Amino acid sequence: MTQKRTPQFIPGFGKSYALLSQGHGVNAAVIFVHGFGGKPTSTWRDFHNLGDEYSAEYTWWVTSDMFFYSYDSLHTPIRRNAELFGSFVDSVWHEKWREHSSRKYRDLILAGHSEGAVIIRRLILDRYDDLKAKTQTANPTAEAAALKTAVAEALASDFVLASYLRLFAPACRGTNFSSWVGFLTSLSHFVSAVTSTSRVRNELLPDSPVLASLKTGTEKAHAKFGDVRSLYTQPLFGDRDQIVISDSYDGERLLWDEGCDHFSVCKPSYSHKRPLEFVCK
Amino acid sequence: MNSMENSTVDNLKFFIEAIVNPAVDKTIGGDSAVADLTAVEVLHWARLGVRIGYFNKKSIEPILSLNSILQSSRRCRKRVSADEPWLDIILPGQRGQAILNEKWFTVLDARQQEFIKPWKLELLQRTFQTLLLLTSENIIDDNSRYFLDSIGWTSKTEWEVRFSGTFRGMQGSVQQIGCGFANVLDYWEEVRSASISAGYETEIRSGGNVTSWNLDFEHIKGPINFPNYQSPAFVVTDFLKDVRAIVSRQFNLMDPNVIERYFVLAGQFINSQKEDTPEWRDARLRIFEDITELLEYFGADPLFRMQRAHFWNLFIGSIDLVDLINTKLGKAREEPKELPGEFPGGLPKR
Repeated sequence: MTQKRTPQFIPGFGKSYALLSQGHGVNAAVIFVHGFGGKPTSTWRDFHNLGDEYSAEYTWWVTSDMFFYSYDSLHTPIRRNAELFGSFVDSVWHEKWREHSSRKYRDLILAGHSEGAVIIRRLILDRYDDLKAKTQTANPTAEAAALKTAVAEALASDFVLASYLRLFAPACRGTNFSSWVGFLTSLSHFVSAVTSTSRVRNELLPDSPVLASLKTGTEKAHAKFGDVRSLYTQPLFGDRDQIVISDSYDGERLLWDEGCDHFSVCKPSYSHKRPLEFVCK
Repeated sequence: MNSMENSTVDNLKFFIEAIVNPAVDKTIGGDSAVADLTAVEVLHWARLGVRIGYFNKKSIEPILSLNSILQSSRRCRKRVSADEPWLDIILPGQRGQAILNEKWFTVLDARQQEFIKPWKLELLQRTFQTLLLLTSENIIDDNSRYFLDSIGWTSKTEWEVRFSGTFRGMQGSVQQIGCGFANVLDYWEEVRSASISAGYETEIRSGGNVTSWNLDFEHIKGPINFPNYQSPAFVVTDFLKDVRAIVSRQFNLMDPNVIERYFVLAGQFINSQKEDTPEWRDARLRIFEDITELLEYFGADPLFRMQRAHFWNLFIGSIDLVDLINTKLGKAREEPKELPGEFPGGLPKR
């Protein structure tokens, strides 16, 4: 019998790995980013098999490679994590992690949970800021309208900014650390949270400057360049979530998954296929 | 090579990069019981993988006949048991070189393969892959190793010192104990969950009802009895039993002192953020019941459940461990003495 996906270790990025599709015509890379205290397999393992099992219903999974990014969510600042994640995304898209390149991806989907969603959004904003600055530097004498056109072209041609964001219970508006009961759905979640550094917890608080600057920056960027796909998204929250503030950026509609808490919202099963449907372009 | 052969080659490459090499690296120095047990455990994963066709037997044998793993096995015999059959998977050859014990590395025979439906074998391979990924993420990790060494394989005094962080010079930190604890809990929860998923899928595909399938809590007695996969109808159950037998050794949950340590440690974490609301109390009870189940599933003697009241008291902190440690240390300061062999290099000099 044929194994539908075989694991591939990705050197240089901790315990990150890929599950490459054995199907034909693979044209999409889906990168999964776990959240606060999470891990690639613990958070996303239900996607490993169910994506293929339900490929008749959700056909895009057959032509999608899955990548599971591993990072230190408990001790490393968010902005540093966003930088490191950017290197990973670059390595995946250009297949730098492999000896022999064999794919040509057309689409990039970034699926994040909780803190993972914050890191994804930070990467997007950093990318936007970087391209905008480079374009301005390259066109020092351009008038405002021409400069805006040049920037828009630069943004439109960037594969990261063209990605599809699929965010599960993002911590973008803050995490509720005033009560620990929400973490007591499992002892491992709770112990992870308690052993995290106060620095990372502070960065995820509702009034944190890190989250505030991310929100303001993304909203301004979206207001100016509404065509850039990744500057806007519709996050999915569980209606029983006690961990993160269930809110998003200006104009972004919230989607709800009934009966799910912060951790189950991103876990598909035979009776809960919403996450499988949600992660698509 | 056909696609199936390509898959087994890729599987082996991943196994070596993500599990074998990191596990063997951590045995250098020979001072970690858990590193040595994990190195031998790697061979058992290989054995199981060969059995279900995830690995090719011919390819794996030359790669895993490692002298470093043989050394680990020898150290395990001194620490654990001289005649532990779990360790017989690797033996010294006539010239002292490491050789894999042939009788362990068998594939499903033709009769078994004929009666095992293809979807079952595919299910086993998928589940096996998930377990390898979980092992790589949670167990092949310095924090996890330090935690498991501390909680499962140290004396009472050394555990109390490591856990309370009262002396410098230990091989790790209290923070590592916490991170390692989180990793091991995560591992247990996810392995249990993956096992349940495999069982449910088996029931559904066999036309049964998921409510009729339950986790098998049969006690993993020592020496460990490995299933022989004689009955195709129970191949999934046998596989899960095999998995429990493979992973349980390093947790050392047959030792009742270790069980106590888990309840005390869990309780200390829970009580450190005590809210005392009805919701919190309900959650605390759920956690207690869950950790009881996890300990049993991963190797504790089920009889420990008969001491529920005792473990509950430890968990909620009725016996205040911190006070106990401070009292003992107060007496130790009055009469300082070296504790032979309990700490690497002895106690730090004051």
